[in-house]
Amino acid sequence: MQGNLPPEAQEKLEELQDLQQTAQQVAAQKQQAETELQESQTALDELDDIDEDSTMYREVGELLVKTEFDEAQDDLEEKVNSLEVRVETLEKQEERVQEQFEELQSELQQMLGGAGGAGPAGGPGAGGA
Amino acid sequence: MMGGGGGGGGGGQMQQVAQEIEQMEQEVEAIDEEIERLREKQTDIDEAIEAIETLDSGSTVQVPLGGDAYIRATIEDIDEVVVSLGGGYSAEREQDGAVSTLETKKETLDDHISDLQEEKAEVETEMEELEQQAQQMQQQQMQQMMQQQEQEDE
Repeated sequence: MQGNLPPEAQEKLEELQDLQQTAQQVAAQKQQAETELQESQTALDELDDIDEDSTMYREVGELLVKTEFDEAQDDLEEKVNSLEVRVETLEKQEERVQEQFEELQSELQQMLGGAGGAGPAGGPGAGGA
Repeated sequence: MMGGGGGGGGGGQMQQVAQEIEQMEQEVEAIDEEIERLREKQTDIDEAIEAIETLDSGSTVQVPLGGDAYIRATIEDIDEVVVSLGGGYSAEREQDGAVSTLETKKETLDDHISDLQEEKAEVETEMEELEQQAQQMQQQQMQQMMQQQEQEDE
């Protein structure tokens, strides 16, 4: 089908496909960061129900290494903060990709003139797990 | 002649829509796989809770070594259960505390599953809209081709 398109439009369509891939990657990274954030936040909340003199362990590969309660708490707080920043950054990146996608889409639309009739399809729509 | 160009444009749009539908199908598949993975985790947690509630200090258990080999062991203290809290940390908890931690983890997984199901529903709705759009485009293309044919016949 692509053969019927003028070369510039074909180029734009390829750019659009690349953007879709980028959007998918960003969405996957964001989802992973959100999962990690949720997990770390849950762990931090769990520490409220645990005595400070409880034996704590840090998971190092398959091993459990004894650690201090305060150390675990500080580390988890730091982790939560950095993951929040990461999720925020990825959200902004996702918005940027979405804007670029819509821009490209309208350019492609103009190139094809009133050709297709129906309006453009939705954004890159990448929320995959 | 202009009509021919129009057909090409429609083809480009059709291709774009078809690709998006395919991408969304992959997305739904990925979400389903993730939901399945989380449900398996929940099953594991259920089994762990059942074990902790069933066992007592002094209970004899068979510990799996891998390769379907086991070794007999005795529970020294049921109030020294090490439970993963998430985020790379574990804590030693008494019997009830361990169960409570595991229940919390299960609830977190429930929330995650609900979020994913909502996301899946959104993607499916979007997909249906796109499929309708693709059908409309196809009909329009057919009409254009028929009109073109009629014009050429005249």
